[in-house]
Amino acid sequence: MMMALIGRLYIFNFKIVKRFVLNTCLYIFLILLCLEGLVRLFHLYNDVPLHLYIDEYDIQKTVPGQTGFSVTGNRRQNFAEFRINNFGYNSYREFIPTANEVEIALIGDSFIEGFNQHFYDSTGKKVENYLNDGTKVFEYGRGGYDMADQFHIIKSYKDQFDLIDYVFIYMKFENDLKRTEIKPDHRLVNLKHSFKFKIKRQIRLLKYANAIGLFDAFRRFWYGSNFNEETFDTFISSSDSISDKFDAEYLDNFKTLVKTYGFNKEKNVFLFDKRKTSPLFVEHCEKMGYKYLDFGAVFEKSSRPTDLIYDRHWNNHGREIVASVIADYVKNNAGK
Amino acid sequence: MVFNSLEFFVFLPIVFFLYWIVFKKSLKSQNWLLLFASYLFYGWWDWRFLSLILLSTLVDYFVGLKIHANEKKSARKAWLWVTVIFNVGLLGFFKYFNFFVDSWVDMFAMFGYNMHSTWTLRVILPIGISFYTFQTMSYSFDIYYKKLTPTRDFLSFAAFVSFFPQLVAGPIERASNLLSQITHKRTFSYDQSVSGLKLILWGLFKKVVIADSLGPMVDDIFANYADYPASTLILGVTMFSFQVYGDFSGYSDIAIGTAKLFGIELMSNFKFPNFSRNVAEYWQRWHVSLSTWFRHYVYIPLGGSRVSKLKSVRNIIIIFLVSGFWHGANWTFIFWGAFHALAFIPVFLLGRNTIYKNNVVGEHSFFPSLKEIGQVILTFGIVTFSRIFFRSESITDAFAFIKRIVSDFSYEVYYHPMGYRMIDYYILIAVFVIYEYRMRKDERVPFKFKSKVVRFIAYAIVVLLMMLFYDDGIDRSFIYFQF
Repeated sequence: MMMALIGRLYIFNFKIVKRFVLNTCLYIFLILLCLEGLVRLFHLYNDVPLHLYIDEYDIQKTVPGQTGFSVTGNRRQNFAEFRINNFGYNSYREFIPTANEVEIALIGDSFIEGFNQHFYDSTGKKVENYLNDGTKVFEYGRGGYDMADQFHIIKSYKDQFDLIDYVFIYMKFENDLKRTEIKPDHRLVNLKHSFKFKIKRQIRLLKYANAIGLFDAFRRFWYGSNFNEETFDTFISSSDSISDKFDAEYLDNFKTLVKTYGFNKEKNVFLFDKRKTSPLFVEHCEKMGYKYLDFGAVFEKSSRPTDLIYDRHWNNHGREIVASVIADYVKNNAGK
Repeated sequence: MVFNSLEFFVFLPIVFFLYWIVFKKSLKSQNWLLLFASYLFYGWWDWRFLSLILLSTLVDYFVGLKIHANEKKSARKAWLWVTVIFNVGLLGFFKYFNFFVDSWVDMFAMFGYNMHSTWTLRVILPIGISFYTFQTMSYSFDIYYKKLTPTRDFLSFAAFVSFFPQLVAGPIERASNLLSQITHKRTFSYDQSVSGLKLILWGLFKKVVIADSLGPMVDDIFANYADYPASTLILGVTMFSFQVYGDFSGYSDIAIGTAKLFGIELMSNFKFPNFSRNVAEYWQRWHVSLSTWFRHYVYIPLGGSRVSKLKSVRNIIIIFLVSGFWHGANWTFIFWGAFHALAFIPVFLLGRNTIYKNNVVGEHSFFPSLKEIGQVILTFGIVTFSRIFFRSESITDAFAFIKRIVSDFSYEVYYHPMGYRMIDYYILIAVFVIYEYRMRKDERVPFKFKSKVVRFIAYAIVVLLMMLFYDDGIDRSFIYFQF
């Protein structure tokens, strides 16, 4: 009798517990659904184009025609529209060089690609504004490009670059000279076929949560408590050792690239922050007569920050400085 | 393990499932589970200090039985001293030993004798030691004052001492409330569990959105106070007031909510102290479990207010100094306590210390009267000012901070150290204050909306706000863990 009563009570309780658990799960699901809507409504997620392709010269580019907004920060502290032109780069311009007009090429990584700024307010556009004489600036920028990619682009699109009057090659010495040949990353391009990619593309909440570091807690849980610290330590020690240990090796890589792809001393100009560039490399440029522009000196003099808060790319002021450095160079060399 | 960690959100559903599904049939097995889960919860941080909890449990369990078994007052008192000496000794060793040694050395230095402190110990302060030692002591005190009969069920007593939702930062429970629930069969209540989840969500909001997002600004302003104008220092200490409230009351809400999931009701710890109309009311609303502890076990045994005015004032000074010292082994906390004593005494002498005991600001209308607004602002200002002592690294820093505000008043716009928009935070605090005012009559019922849709939207907005202000890079530990 007693057992039966306890059994009945147990079943009764179990039913309420089950109802509670199911209702909680339902609420969580509905809240997630609502959050997905809110994240879309306020456009908190990052649209950065995920459709990539590799062209006939093995150059990795972004599929043309993609538009959207690049978002950084939890509260979309940085919100910028992008537009991929027909050549596969983020620019308001189409790249159609001519023989009778002044054209400038800016080649580089994400700093030139500029997803962190409105495509109509890029460094290239600012150069055009500074010059204000009809000069056109073509920005061949893609996150992850290094010197090998950049040299490869100049060589592959020789016909275009022959018509262009100035070529500015943006470089970060510690990152850009790690290899001497390009290897197209088919894995990255084929990601769009993966299940993870499709999910990520469709669920904006997932994109947003990932961007603000919400999943880092899961990763830390999975990889152990040293997840962050280890990454940080590795980062620090590797960047320290780069400057000491790899300067010579990177310079050798640079020489190999010049040998492989050739280098137009008259037209090409390196654009770098001298404070972060190996003196060995600067010395080599001076010795070989390679031109360079150091925007770091102007950055240092600036009383206002030149980088964004979140991702260390140039902010509007930083881009203004870089553009003015380029424009001054072009003005001073016009007609030479 | 902390409440705002992923580990806890894995741990909690597992314990919940085992508690209500697997071990449902037997009270004993549920209590075993609670004990095991509590030790796991605490041991996740440092398992070695579990021995302290166990020791404290054993001492008070046996002392409780001994006090009860003796009829002679002197013997009862002697056994009471055993628990006091043991628990205060534990606190003294882990929390105050270095403070006393250093203060001793400093005192000699003031008279020109330079001593080298070789006695200071390199010990970690065990998390929650101030909370569970006070909880176990209250058990023995209650038996001594014959308010409670000791339990002979050691398992239940051990589960009472280590009950994980309130183990590391309170509320500091009394055995009459918590132990009696642990020794009796719990039945699952749907409404109680839903209310628990709501409190957990609200507590997380207060922690993640209010406390954690203000933290970097408070840290910046207090660390660089010498470089900032007075207006920024006032902003910094005001933000700290909200930070510490969000942090600690958030923790308490999560603790109370978690306990509800296990069919247990904990006492309220915060009753909207920011809407207090005088300092006495503030202490009836802030960290209630500690202030009532001091009231029951220190203030009243000293005579409370039933002695002469002078002695009552002495008693008030004692409890505020002890309360300050309880918070930490630093002169800053003692000054903080002394400041509150000074603010409390005039209210007491005017006989206004209990006038707001049973009502809240705007009791009969939605909007408070102008007089009430003035009282609330004044009280908030006094309490916030005292937080300069609470937050400063040293007493010298605290006075330098105050001096800068008083002697050199100037205004400058403050920019977030990481460059974020400040307006976001001002709006956030304003909305938070308005919402708390709206729910001021019952601290245990957040999200009290008649419409299900509105309630659901409120849940979603709260979760969204948590995401909007979430920062993985900051220190997310609870402030009161250090006490």
